[in-house]
Amino acid sequence: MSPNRTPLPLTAGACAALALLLSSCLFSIEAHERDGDWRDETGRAAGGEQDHERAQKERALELARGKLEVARAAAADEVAAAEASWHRAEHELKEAETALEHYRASEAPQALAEQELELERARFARDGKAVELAQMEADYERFGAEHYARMTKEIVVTRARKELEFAETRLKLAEVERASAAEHEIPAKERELEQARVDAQVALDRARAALERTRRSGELDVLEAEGALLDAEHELAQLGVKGARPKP
Amino acid sequence: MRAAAIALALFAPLPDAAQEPLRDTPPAGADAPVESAPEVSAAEGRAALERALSFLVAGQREDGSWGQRFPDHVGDFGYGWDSYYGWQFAAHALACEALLRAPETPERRAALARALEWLCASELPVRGADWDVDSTWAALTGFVTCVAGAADPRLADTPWPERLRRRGLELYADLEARQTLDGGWAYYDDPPFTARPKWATSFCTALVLPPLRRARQELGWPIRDEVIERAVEAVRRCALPGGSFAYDYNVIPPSWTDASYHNVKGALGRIQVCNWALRDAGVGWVTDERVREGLAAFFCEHRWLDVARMKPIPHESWYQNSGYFYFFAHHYASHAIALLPAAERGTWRRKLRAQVIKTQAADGSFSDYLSANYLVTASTSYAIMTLAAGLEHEGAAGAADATGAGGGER
Repeated sequence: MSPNRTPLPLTAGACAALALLLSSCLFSIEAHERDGDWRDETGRAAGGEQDHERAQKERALELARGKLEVARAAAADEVAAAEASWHRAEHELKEAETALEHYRASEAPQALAEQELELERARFARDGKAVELAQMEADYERFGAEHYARMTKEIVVTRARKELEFAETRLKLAEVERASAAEHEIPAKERELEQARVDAQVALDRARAALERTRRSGELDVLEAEGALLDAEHELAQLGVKGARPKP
Repeated sequence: MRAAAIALALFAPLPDAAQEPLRDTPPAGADAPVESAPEVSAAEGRAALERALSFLVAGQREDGSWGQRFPDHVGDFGYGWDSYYGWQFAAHALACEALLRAPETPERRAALARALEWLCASELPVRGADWDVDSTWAALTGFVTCVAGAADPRLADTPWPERLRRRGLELYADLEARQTLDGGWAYYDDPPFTARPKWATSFCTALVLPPLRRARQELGWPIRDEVIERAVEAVRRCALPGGSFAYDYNVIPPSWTDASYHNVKGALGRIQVCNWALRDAGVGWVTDERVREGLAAFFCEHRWLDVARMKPIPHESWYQNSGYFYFFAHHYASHAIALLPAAERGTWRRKLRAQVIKTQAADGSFSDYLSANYLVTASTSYAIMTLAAGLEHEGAAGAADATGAGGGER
């Protein structure tokens, strides 16, 4: 006998048993739909499934309410933070503008005046050292003919001469420092402050845009949460009045 | 302030490398004393004296004064403003004293009268600043001159003795008010600043001691014994072993063996005036021998004064000698010489004049420090008094006369 072939009497019996089982099932479903209180084949009541679905909907409704609440709070919080950033940026712009204005009106002229003063001091010191050297030379010319005075004259006069050289070098440095301040350092500092003001303006514009974006984003989040709540309420309402439980 | 001046001297910029650097101790071999000193004849002395007197009289203003009450040299900036007047007054007093001691001529007598008028009629100098008591110089030299003038027999029958007494006692009141607790006088004060300064030097105190004693004993001025006794004690306490005198009185005595300004080489300008003052006050150990030792050291070590002369920073030279002690030192060396027996004086004086004359400028003036008017006046006046001392008793060849008496020498 071939292993793929089933004996005919056995096949007919199986078909009869299957038909009996199907008719039994159809009977049970019809009875359940008629009575509305059916039990599955394990013996439990058919009404428990409906309660579970309602509980799910109710939980979904609570979840939607919570999400709406959170969305509203988050939106308010983010807007507040964005407003704070905006105010901060606004303050920093004012500070940058004030710093630039103050630098132009006060600090830059003062820095330049100080350089002018140093230059004048250096010029005065140079002139003083020149007078001092001239006086030393005149003193030795008048009173320095004696042996020891002649012998040690150069100690004094060379010292005075070197001090004059130092003063002349100091004067040249002061002239360079003054020119550097006027032509490089002060303009560079002004450019730096101007750039800081521009940066602060950009930061303010960005903060203002961020605030608007945050406001809109929050509104959308709240709108979405409100929609989800309405959906949840609607789905719960679709389950019918019967068996609906009171809202907590 | 004196500490600042010393610090300034010690840390002053060095000359460039080609020059001998300044230092506190001299180069090797330079420390050997000079045993012999040159002498000049009386004729040379007289010629130098005449030129110096001509310069001094020619420089006198119509109002009788010399110098001015403001700084006229860049090296003098930085003192209390009133100190410049104090220096002018002090230098003026020295010029008066120089004219008192100089051989008299009608021109000089007239100059002296105008000078004494200014000395007696001018306002009294005042303290320049809390730290700057330089007006003490005016009180010291002014008092010395007032005593010299009041005691001068040439002025005896004139109003000058009484006027000089009044001015002298005004200056004495200033000295009495500023005599330190140690009994002396100086020209600076240290914090905490007090109305009665706390710093006194041996030489400032010594220079006024004999005139104080003379004013009380010979002129009958009301000088308090206590002031003199304390001043004598202040100078005596400055005496150091080896014949030196400390710059100032210190509770802890300074070392006298190191190369500091307290030893003989740094004290050449103080030894003579201190010996003279203590001898005058009757301090027994200031014998002729002690005076001779001081004078011998003065000439043996004289190059330390020479090399300090003209240096523009106080105490910047070796042994912290200052240029401005040069003529002061010679003037009081002449006083010390007058303490010795008459027969000895001529040789000392000829040596002394040689050290003065060699520094005389072509115009007859002298200066040991700066060319500020008051310093030229003071230097020239000290030089005149040094040159004039004992000169009238020396023959044309320069030998001491038979008596050796120093007319006017005290």
